[in-house]
Amino acid sequence: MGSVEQKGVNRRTFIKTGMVGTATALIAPPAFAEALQNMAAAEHSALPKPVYRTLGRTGLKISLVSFGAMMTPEPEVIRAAIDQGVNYIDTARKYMGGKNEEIVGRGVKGVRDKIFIATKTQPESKTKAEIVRDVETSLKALGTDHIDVIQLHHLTGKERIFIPETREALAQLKKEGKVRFCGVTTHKNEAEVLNALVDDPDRFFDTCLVKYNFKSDKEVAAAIDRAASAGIGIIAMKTQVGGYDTAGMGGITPHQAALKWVLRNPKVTAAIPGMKDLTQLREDIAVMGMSFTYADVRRLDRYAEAIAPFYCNFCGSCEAGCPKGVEISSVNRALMYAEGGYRDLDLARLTYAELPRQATAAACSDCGGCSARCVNGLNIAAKMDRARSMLA
Amino acid sequence: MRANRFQVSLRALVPALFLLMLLTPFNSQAKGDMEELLPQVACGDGWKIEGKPLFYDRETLSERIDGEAELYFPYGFERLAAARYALGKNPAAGIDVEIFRMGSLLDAFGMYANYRQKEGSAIAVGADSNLSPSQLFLYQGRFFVHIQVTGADDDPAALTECGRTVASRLPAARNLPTELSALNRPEVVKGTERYLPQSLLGYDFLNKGIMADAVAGGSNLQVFILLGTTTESAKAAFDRYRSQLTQGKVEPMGKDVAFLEGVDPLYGQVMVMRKGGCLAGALKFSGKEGVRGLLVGLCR
Repeated sequence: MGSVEQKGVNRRTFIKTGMVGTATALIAPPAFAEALQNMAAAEHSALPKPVYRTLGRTGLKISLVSFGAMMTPEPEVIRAAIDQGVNYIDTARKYMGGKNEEIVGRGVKGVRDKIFIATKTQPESKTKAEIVRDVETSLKALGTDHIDVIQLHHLTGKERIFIPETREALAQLKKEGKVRFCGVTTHKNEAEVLNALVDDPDRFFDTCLVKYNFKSDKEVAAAIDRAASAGIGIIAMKTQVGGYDTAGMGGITPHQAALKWVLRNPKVTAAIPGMKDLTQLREDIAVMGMSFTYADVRRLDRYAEAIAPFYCNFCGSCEAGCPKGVEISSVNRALMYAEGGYRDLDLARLTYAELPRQATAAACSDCGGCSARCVNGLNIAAKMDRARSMLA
Repeated sequence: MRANRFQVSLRALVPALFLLMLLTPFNSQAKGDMEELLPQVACGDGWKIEGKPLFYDRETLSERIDGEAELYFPYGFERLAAARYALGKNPAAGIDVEIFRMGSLLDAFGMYANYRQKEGSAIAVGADSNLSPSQLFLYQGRFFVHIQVTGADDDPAALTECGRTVASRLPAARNLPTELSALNRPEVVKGTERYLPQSLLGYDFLNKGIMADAVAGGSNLQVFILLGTTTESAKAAFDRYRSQLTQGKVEPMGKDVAFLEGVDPLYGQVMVMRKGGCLAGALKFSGKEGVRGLLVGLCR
């Protein structure tokens, strides 16, 4: 009654076949893509060889596409990535209350010596006791005797880089062989954090995991360039401008284009896209064999269009709800000059300065809560807050 | 007779409705900004609120929890209300309370299960709770709550008290997601149930399902059930999964019932059963004894 199939497909060829499928689906009409996929399935076309770059002064050779484990529910997905040459796994003590480290620990079991593990202390940990406790707990959860890169989590400014007690703890842990290198992570005020790492006379931190994508400010790119030139290993996160719904873009996703945009910058050692399933894994690791093309520019243009609803269209209907009379749409326009396609901070500040002070976001400081509502669902309070800190 | 029964029902219904209104004072308000869910002054004995509560939505969640925010989005995250409570005698000590409003009861459970610690213990708060020395996780209704002590010695008593205070302000329903009832079998290890809204087993075509550890025939294994499937979608998922296996043996077992045994490239030996719109599977087992019976039970 039953039918038996012996395909003889192992995990490596299984991933290869799927990768070709994903890549062709991105570029070809459906029928052509299907034909190519069938051909690939039959012949198991070659995967791009993994590409490695040196992580700044650490000297670690890590895969251009590395593994952000935060979203990964099963250790087997991590193992599949390792089989494809991915050798740098990023997790954090905080993710899933520490359970994510356990998943990573199971994923690297038996191949630990071939893999570099990066994790992070708790964002609120600053004292020596807290840092040591975090690292000891991480070591236990990961099932390892050392962490390759321990990172201070979620820096929003330069202050935490210079806390003596934090450094004392990290130095002790390095001396004990429990951590090899120290780094930081930042997705806010990235340029300030990067520049502080470079300006640190002790050169204490060796790496920076930084938010960097096709919508990042020029200021961030310049800071990355400076930091990498000073030997700081740069790893990019949020490369795919996460959080935006791309369902409206159909089958062609912008994720590979966004990843390629980041990795074409030679100052970036690697990116750590989050991968929760094999489809994402295939899509991401395929990028190691691709170059950034004009088609990618077009894809990113379409992506920018798809996320356009997140930007103000200056209709002004929200302003009726503001008791302070803030000219919200004008403030948003100034903000757009700074954050949108213009990336022109001077123009943004000039535009903002033209507004009467009582109509700027400065007036929001006296408000307990924002009563203005956007018909497109924009978070007006957050935008005013950004304008106040960036343009005032 | 019919009128009498109606009157009796009405008499029983009115107090029940009144009680329900009393017990769920925040249900409708929860659609607002959730400020009412945070204790205004104290969160347990001696812990006073510090500053103002903070609120985050999808656009701003990452400002509080960085990239971890992406973990919340598939579970229908809507809003986070957060506050810090301080202890007068130790200014460095704090209890951070985070109340996440998720898409549904099942979503709240899913987040809870993601964070539940193996070594944690349950306390009588919420639909379920998990207390470890410095953290308490609980869910109740569509709210997932994380409470953490920082800058002080572990304080499970304070966490418990704070958890009770917060839970008392949440909508009163303490029921479990009905979807979990499918896993209510003696072979399934209690407290290991998980809900994944996407990419079950790391396959994007196995969308939305529940998983748990189990013991069958003396062997440890994992089981899964796909959720929200129709006969057609279960069949499509079954066929797609079969195509992923390096070896696959399908055994039709009557109308709309099929059994699949094969080797998954990631997990090794697997067994999958489809019965109408039910798709259940087992993996990571060392022996087959009892596994098929367990799948039949899951699809009953």
